Amino acid sequence: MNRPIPDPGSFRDPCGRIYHCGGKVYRTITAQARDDFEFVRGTGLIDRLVGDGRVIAGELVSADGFPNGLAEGVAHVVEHPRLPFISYPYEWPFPALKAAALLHLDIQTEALDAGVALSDASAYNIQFRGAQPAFIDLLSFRRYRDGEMWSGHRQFCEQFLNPLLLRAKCGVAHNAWYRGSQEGISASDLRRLLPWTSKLSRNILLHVVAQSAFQKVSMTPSANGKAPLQTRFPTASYRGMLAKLRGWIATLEPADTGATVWRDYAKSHSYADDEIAAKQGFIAEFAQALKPKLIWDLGCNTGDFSAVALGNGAKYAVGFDMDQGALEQAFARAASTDLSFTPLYLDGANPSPSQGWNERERPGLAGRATADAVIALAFVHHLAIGRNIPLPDLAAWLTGLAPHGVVEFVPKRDPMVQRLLALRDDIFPDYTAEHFQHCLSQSAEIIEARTVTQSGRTLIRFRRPVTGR
Amino acid sequence: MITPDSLLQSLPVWLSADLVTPAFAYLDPGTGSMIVQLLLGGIAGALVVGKLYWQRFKGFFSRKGTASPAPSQDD
Repeated sequence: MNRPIPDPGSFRDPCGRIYHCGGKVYRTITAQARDDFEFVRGTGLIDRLVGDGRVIAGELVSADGFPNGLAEGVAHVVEHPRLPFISYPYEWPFPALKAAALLHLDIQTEALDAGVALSDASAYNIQFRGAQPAFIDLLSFRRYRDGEMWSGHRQFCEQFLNPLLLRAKCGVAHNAWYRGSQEGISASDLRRLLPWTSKLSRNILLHVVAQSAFQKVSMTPSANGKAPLQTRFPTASYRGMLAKLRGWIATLEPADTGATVWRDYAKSHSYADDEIAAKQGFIAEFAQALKPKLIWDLGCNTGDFSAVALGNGAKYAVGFDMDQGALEQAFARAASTDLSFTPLYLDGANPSPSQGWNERERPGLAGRATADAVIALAFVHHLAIGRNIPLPDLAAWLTGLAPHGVVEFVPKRDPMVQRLLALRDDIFPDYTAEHFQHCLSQSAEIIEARTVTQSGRTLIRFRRPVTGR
Repeated sequence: MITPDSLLQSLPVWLSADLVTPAFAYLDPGTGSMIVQLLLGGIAGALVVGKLYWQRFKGFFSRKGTASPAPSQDD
């Protein structure tokens, strides 16, 4: 057996660690966490939550199969199924972060009923399968001690509630801030930004304003020799707090509900129905030929072409876009039709970097590029003309993301490119379909190029040489 | 302008309470969160917070009322 490699992002909880070995994912449970782990297993809570898909499955395996590979003092080893794609809360659109927050609260509530508490409230403990959030950290489940406080409350606020409030009360999406501040948004920062009228709300007064004000209180042992004040957090209050938060978060919606540039693009775009059918047909053929396990859809908009790929043999699609309105519609589509499609926020010219501790805790997009295929429709001109990315660089990046792909080239005479050039000089003499194909052919083989609209939009299918990368 | 926000900001307090904290807590729950939970914990918790402020209030005056010890002749 290969030597197990510890996951660089799994180090915070001393009760265990994630390892990768032979393409599989294992979680260790150390001796100090053994009692809690066995207690929680005995309650049947995890089996119920795994049964309805809210917690990722985990099967006990023998630790003897890992000679010398694991840290010392391991009591149990659990094998988890590998997820199609790991995403982070700074990549989630608003409804995904909201769904994750509600899942966390629901699990907490059910756990309390079983005498179990969650030791933290990290948003990174939730991953998506399609639009369905699933909790992935078995070690967060601990025995509940009567009267104990909700130790993850502050973290819940910073990683779920405050980023949601930023959008719901200030109309600002959480993604850029969250990416720069991986622990989320603090109550004291949010408090400075919230309109004062919003602070009249009991919930905001309590979870943002009061929490931020009291954070400056110094918590010290009794200095004057007197016995410290004894207090406990009654279980009924714990439950009530979770229920109130859940009810409140369920009502939160983005404040900026006006039209975004791309939200209605599928209805208002500049080409005809038969031209859309031609594009869909090309993607359908591509998906049928490859049957990719994982396909990336760059500039996914509301997910039309991901849906086509999934309907034609693709197993799982991850969409990327930077328009919040389009992403919200894409997420709603995935949720309502139970599509294996996860839409995520991404600026193609500035993809998620590798970051966190030692720059290895949260891999960047390139570090997670395990797709079998990539499609980039109506995407290239936004980077080439909108962001001045040179075509050779763009072609090399695209062909590096997956071994197979379809890229759409939108020529200068197309109204969408004309719009990009309307207020600036055309400094792109090389921006032609021929030159772009030449650039692609430097790192991949062009399988087919088909013009699909009257304006001259061309779909180019490429394949990277087997020895490539 | 006096807002609930600014009032809260103006209340310094030192908290000395023995709270039931979870075993193996590797996460700092944060003082702000703990006091919010004390308040939510009903009358008992709110009384604790009230008592903390009262002790602080009393402490402020008792310190003022106590004469500082005379300097020692040995100094």
